[in-house]
Amino acid sequence: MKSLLFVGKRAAVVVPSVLGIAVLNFTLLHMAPGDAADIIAAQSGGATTEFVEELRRSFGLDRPLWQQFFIYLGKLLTFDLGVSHVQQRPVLSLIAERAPATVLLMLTAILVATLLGMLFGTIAAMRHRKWLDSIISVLALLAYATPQFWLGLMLIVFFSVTLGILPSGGMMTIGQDISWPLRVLDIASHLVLPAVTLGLFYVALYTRLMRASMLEVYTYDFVTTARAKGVSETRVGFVHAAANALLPVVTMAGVQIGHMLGGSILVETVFGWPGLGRLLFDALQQRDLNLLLGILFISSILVVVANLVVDLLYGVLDPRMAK
Amino acid sequence: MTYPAARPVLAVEDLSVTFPTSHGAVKAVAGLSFTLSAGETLAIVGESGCGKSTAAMSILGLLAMRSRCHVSGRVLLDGRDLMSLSQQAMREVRGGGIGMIFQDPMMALNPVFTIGWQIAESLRLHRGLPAGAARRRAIELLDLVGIPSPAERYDQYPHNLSGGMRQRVMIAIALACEPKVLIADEPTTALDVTIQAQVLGLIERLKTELGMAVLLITHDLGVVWEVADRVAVMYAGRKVEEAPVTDLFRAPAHPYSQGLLRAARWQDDVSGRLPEIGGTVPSPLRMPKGCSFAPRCHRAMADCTLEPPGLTGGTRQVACHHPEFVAA
Repeated sequence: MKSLLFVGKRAAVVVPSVLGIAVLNFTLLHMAPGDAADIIAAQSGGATTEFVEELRRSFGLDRPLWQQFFIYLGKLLTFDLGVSHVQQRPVLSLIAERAPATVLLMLTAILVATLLGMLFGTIAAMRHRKWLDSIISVLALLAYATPQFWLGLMLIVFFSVTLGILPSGGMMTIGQDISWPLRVLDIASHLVLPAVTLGLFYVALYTRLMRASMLEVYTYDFVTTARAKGVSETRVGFVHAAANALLPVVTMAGVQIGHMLGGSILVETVFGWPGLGRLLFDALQQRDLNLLLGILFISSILVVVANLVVDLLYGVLDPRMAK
Repeated sequence: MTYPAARPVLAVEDLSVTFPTSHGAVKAVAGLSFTLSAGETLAIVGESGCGKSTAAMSILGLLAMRSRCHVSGRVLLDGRDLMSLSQQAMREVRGGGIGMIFQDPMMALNPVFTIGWQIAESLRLHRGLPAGAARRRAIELLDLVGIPSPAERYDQYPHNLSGGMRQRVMIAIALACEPKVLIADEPTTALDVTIQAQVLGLIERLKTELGMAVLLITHDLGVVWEVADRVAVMYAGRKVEEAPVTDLFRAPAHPYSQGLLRAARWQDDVSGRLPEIGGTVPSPLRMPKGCSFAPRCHRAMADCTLEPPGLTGGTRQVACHHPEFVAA
């Protein structure tokens, strides 16, 4: 009952934040010069002013901005994201086609990054100032400083071109009719390189964060209590200290899911991953306003929901929060 | 008061702890020796920084885990030297042969595990009890330390409990495997006065019931008077006096002990002024060549600054060139 109330309270906060995001998206995009009519006219290789005006009228772009905004908002409430004028298809179906790929990529990257970061950070802190700590810290710094696009290209060169063990792009092998377990394996093998590219920076970040957090927790009295009980150093580190030290990492990971969406545009482009990131990139290039607004709106909902999940997770990980 | 003449359970011999610093080695504990018999409470008193907690931590070998230091001497538990034990064997002593409780119960329990789990862990590690049996025993222990409705409390977290209750849980953890020795490092300092009395009463009761030896580290002379059988006074890393508690309170022999007692009893003083010991503790980096208390001592003579005084033997030990057995 208590936890239901907690969920309800958190969920209630979601509504105004999503509305706020809608307002912000709309304003920002309308401040950018040029609209879909301009682009279509330009692509048709020269059009009369009358034709462009006619296009604007049919898209509703000739109305005052506030009217356009309320029409947009009214449609949002019914989950009607409009039609992409460039691709001539409903925005929602375009997004629905692409979102699963992005969600798969991001979830894999953030989950693996969080788990590995916690593991490496814990080990480094347990071996504080020993050689293993130095190795982990140096590698983390290296991974932290590596640009994503370069890493992606180098991984392709090494694993796809030189070794030939992993596919260099796409999400699945095209033109194969295979049973679903093989399909899962096929997608997984395509997922490895983009997920590593997207996640490695975060592995480094969480390793450093976890290490610092562990070193702080190590100074707390309850660690001495555990040792005085006869708990082994391995168990002190992985159980007693780590359970307390992982809270900041989880918080950070929750905040950074939105960040990661930005990074996934680049990664999806490098690896030809058919996700939202590429769709967004294309929409931006083509001034496909409806599609842009739709993607921004859906991804902001993704981020808000992710934060909600992290909030709830926090209640599980830290009993003091569950009250 | 009677003193058990049994063979000591715990004997500390010539324990020294040195911390290397950038300004030179700092000796936090210098040549500390004492013995402790079953059913007996020995209090170690002294002001902050005198080395009493450092000594307690190094008995269990906990010091080297969190700081760089050098520990020498011998710690004998039932005649077995703990200093020469392997890490594995030492872990069995911690929580098994010697239990320890700490000053701040707010910080000493892990906030993300239930109190029951924290007690049961000890039982599972040392006794190899299966989960169900460990749970039943942990509930018994919660009951033993006077926590009401222990079965419901088992699944609660430290933040659900008051400071006094948490210290009771700490005691339950320390006593889970029925250790021969309980080291209590300032167990009541963070608690308010009524709770202090309850916790001290509990330790006293359990000591008698379980036949433990208790090493009590404190700076509170009132607590010493309440529960200790013998008392050792430490100053600047050295034991300066050790005596049965009644003897020390009636007739302290070392000028430092005398100063401490005078300060503790100042409310009895008609003048209403808090008597103090003039001067400050010497820096551990610049210890005087002779008696470390000499610069502050009103009885100091020329010979006091030449060499440090040794301890006299017997049940009344004092490290002073000119001890004074004043009878009150």
